[in-house]
Amino acid sequence: MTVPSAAGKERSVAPPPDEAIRLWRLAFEGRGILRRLGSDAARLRRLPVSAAAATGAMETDLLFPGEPDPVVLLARGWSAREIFELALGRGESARPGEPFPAGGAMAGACDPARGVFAPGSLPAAALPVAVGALLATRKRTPPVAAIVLVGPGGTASGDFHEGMNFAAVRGVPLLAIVLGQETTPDPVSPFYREAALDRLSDRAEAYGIPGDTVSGGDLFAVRDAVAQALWRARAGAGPAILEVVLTDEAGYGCDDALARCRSRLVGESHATETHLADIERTIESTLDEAMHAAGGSPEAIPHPVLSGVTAPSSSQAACPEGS
Amino acid sequence: MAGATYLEAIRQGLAEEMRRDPAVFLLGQDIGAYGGAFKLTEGFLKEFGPDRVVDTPIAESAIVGAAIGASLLGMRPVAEMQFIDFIACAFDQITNFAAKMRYRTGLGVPIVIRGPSGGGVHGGPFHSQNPEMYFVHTPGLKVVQPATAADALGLIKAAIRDPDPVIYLEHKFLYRNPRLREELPGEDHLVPIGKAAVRREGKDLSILTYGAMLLRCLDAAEDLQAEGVSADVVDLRTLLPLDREAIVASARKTGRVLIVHEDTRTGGIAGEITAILNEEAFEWLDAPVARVTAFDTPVPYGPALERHFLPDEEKIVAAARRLAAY
Repeated sequence: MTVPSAAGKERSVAPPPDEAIRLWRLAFEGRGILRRLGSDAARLRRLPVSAAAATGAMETDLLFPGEPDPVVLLARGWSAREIFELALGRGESARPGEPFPAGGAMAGACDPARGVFAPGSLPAAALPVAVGALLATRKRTPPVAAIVLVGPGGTASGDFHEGMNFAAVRGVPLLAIVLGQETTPDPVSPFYREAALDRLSDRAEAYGIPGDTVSGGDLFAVRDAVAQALWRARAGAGPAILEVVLTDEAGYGCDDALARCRSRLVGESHATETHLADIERTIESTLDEAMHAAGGSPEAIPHPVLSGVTAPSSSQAACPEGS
Repeated sequence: MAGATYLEAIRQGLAEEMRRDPAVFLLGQDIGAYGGAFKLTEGFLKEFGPDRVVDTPIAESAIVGAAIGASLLGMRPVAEMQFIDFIACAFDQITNFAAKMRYRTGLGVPIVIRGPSGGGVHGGPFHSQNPEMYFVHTPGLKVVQPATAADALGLIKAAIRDPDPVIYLEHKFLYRNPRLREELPGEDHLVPIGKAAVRREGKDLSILTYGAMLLRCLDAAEDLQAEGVSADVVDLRTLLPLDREAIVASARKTGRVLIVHEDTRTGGIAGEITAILNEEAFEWLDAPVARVTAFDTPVPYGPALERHFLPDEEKIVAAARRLAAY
């Protein structure tokens, strides 16, 4: 399978230097967070795409990461320490000034004011939720678009179909970014068991909406495709599917994507090797400190485990014996 | 004909809330131009427009998911299931997304999911079910089922204003039942969620019920009165959270409890109420708690079979007699 970039270009044009560095930096920092938390390769794999998506969106756009995603949180202002505290169940807050939710975790980070929405039980469950969020924001100025990120398995879920179909019927500005694979690096849940398609973007035709495929080997191309799709969506073109394909040639790992991105930053004179090395050292050091500080924070049990199920004003009573 | 039906009361409650709060909007299949399968939202499209009366695809998970998303941005959506049986298609969105959101994130999901439940109208196994206990077993949700027109009005308004997801079950057998016609209370009538109502005072035994079974139980109580048995009839109105105080108070008053529900027997609310009574009123009981329920089968289609399946006045009276004589 040959995978062109979204614009049919052989090689994308990098965004302005500060944005290009931000993209790489987000992915690098996100990788550092997940590595410290012991995440597996599959979860790391999506991080560079998340960084490309987050930097391709406007600050007013809504992000539905589909899975716990430190890159999305970093992009919208969470600190590394806050993310570690969420993941470890320590510290004070998922949202500053409010009690730590008893059932929280990194997946519990949700702040509509910052345009970040917690994932549900399944990644594709976020698609119908995003449609509703867009119905609620349809009269905002400037127009608001939303991104939902799902892996290849997410497109096999019923919610993917219901969400995309509803989005298409209503014409809401929703961009579904799906991770495709040329072959499979994962023998446990290989791609061919998720879809009988070469390209997941082909699903778009069934909804009467645009679908495009871009190589995940070129993060700048991904960012550019995201930005263009969102621009079209905000302008009234409705939803779209953007497939980001990870290929044998480009590699499937987070490290591969970061290395290529870094190489381009230096090769195209957006940053010097020294500058990037400084950033890397600073991030690693900051993450070590943040992890240490989060681990030393008190366990987050600010209120009894029985509360926070319904609103405090609710008359719902917990079993008095707790039995 | 004087007074409002149960269906008209729900309609009035929805309209009042939509006029009161611009954040309230409706979404569901065929609720706009068609006015809903039971015509409950007839005229809403004209009054409130397509942005607030949103016709959706036949896709219950999308309907509920969209309601969740809108609620997170300050809206107060009311999602209609054309028949409540199909709420099963939205199970993940309701039980995993909406119900757990506050516990996971601290953010509430103020949505109402409403739809016609129950049998007695020969709807067969996919248009007659009582799915309440799937949701009563889910922390984070609230589940209500009005049995009178006034409660239908007051509970839908309270559900819309509630900060958490509410499953609002409306029994289709009651929609246009002439016995339920009544003059509705004055403006802004609210029925608190979590509060039962004593519909008939009695001293010999308690009958706890809800939904369409209330009428059957009140009829049974009349029959029992003629036999010298005085029944206290409690309409639960809310199944989650249960009004434990009202349940225990009635049990302590009479010492004998009969629970009646149209839902199937195993895992029905009767089991939970019995456990509450064991925990909190055991010393006051003079007889084992009894129950009259539907059988543990799907709802049969044939009229004779459905009549046999559903609790009726005869079964309730027979069970009450046994209980009174224990």
